[in-house]
Amino acid sequence: MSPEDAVASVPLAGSRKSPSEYVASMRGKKVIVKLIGGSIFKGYLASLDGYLNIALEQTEEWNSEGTGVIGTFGDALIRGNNVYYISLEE
Amino acid sequence: MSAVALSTSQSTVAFNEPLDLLTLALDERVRIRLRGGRELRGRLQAYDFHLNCILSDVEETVTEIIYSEEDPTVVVSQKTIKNSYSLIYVRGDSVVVVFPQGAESEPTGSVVADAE
Repeated sequence: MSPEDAVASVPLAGSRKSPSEYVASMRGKKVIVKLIGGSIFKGYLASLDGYLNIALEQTEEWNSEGTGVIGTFGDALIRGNNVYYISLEE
Repeated sequence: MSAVALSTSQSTVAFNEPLDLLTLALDERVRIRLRGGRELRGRLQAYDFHLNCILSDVEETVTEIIYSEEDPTVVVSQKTIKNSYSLIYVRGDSVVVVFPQGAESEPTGSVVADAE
């Protein structure tokens, strides 16, 4: 499989998108955000910007193993430099 | 990315960018988690796009966790220090997460036991 085919086969990527376009399409969906420090936040992606600053709604903080909820918050603003990844929750 | 002008009139703020969350939190109590196990609770007086913040009536909580030398996953001891400040300026680069306190519920305190 050529790299182009591999990109085309990524789910949700109907056309080739830049990473920022891809992540912008996650708005309103439930996402998992892992921080460099190891903490994990899950919530609905309210907005994000080019620095990967992230606003979440109905936020849950999970322990670093992802096995339990540590706390719940309404909104949360995560400073982009701490973000390790953003993932769609299945 | 659509730019949103920061407005002091809260009713006109469109919620398009993450930092708009702080516009809505101006003059409200916020909880800011910082690098190094520090946490601040105070009233947000001002901020900028670096997330430099001015807070008033602040309580700082410093949590120091000491791990075992043999097994770094084992917590040997944990101590918490609290400080109060009337007004502080926080440099934005140490900010990790900001929680506006509006619809917050307190954390359960201890990590929920791992579900095996």
